[in-house]
Amino acid sequence: MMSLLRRWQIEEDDTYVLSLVRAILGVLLLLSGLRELSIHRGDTSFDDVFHIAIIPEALLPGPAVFSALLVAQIVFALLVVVGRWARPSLLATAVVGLYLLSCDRLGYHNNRYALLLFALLLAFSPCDRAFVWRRPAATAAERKGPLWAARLAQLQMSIIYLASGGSKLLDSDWREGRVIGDRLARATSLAVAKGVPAELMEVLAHPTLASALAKLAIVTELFLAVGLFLPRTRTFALWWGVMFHLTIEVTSQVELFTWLSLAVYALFAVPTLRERQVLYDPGRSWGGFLARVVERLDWLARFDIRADAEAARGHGFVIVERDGTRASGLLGLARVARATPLLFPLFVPLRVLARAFSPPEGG
Amino acid sequence: MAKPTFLDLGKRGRMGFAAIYLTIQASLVLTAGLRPDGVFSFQMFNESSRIAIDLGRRVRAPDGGTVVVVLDGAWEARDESGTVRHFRWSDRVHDPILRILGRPVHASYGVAAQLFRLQKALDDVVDHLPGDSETVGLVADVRIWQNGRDRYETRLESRARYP
Repeated sequence: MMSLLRRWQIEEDDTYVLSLVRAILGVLLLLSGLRELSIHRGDTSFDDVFHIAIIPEALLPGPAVFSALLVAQIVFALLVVVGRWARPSLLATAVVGLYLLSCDRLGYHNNRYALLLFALLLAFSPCDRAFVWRRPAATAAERKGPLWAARLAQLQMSIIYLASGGSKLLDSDWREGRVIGDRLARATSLAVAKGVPAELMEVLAHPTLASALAKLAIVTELFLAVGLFLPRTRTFALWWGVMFHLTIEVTSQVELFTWLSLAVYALFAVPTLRERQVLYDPGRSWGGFLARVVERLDWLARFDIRADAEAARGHGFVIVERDGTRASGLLGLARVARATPLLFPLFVPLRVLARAFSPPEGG
Repeated sequence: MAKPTFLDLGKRGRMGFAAIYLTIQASLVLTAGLRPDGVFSFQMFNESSRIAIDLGRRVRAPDGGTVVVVLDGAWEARDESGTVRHFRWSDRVHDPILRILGRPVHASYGVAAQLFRLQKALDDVVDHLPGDSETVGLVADVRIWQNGRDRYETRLESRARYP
């Protein structure tokens, strides 16, 4: 335990992915700030409306200060997006946001609170070493920085799953499927509007299936709280978590929480870049096509892409993993999907297909 | 390379920050039950319940007691000079759940959360009725469908008002 803590204190690595997460967080903060501003009535003070302050009433801002803080939130978010004064802006937006949240608990939402907590934690990480507007790209050495705060952000994600899953586990209505069944029955119109077949929603809301789904949801959240941290389960946990959040997105209204969760998932990627290779045969159109696709979708900079017909050994493309194992065909595609955010949902289906139809090529 | 700032904590600072942060988070999660609306505790989708609020206004009766007059959210009352004035529940209550009267709405964060907020809202509104010399209190009859169960009802009353 002590060695784990010591490692956590001193761990340093590439902050490229961390910086990308910061930029995405900035966009989410911006959207959140714009939404707040759009519903704000500039001349209304807390004295004029029913509210439940968490902090003493004397500390509530007047209309002008409140409006100014909302505008400041948007400015801070823009700075976070572009990477200039990003860390002080993250801290400022977290402090101001938590203050505003404390002014009226009627405006409290878990997803908004979570966004502010991640902003607070990232402020203490060197998340401004890449993706900075009009600054030349930093070298790998310049990007290297401490990751302790990023690890704390991972832990925060785990706390959310643990708190959510734990509270459901302790609630008999949840365990028995009453909550999810009733929710699904009433969410049918919303889900259908988002493209989910009505028949599927009816089946899901059936008491027996709802009970099973409830248990699955509880197990999922508790599994994610732990599974994201274990090397053996991490990739599957990430995939299962992505599926879980996308399902929630189409069946419920959770504001920005889905995209916040998926952005934070990127922090679970190994920080070191380009440890995998895509070797392709430029003479084969399929290999060249895949290389171009990977180049465009490799947002986490996982791959070193090279045209090398000899190394491709007669295949259109070959994926070389960190440990030197090679894969082509369906398994190669599965490994591309595993490392590219947009294709990640396809990882498990492709992996299953690959196992069924094509054995891996030896390294 | 950027110069270190106050955000670049040393090893001891990191440990201290993490200890304080995690203690606060754990405390907030573990004490969720002490807060009716469970704020700061990440109890996602805790209920699928619905509530429907019917608002009433308690006024003095000729026999010296009080009666409850059902409202649709708006009412008229005389001030001390006898002038008729208009009042609306939604003038002060802007909350997207509590301002809806007479029809079922999703009880976000659960029934306990919404009843807690509604009680506060009733007390707040009766404290802000300048010019209403008739209303001695507000009453909310709440129909509740908790997690798809059969409906039950409860009544909340504001604190008494002496116009």
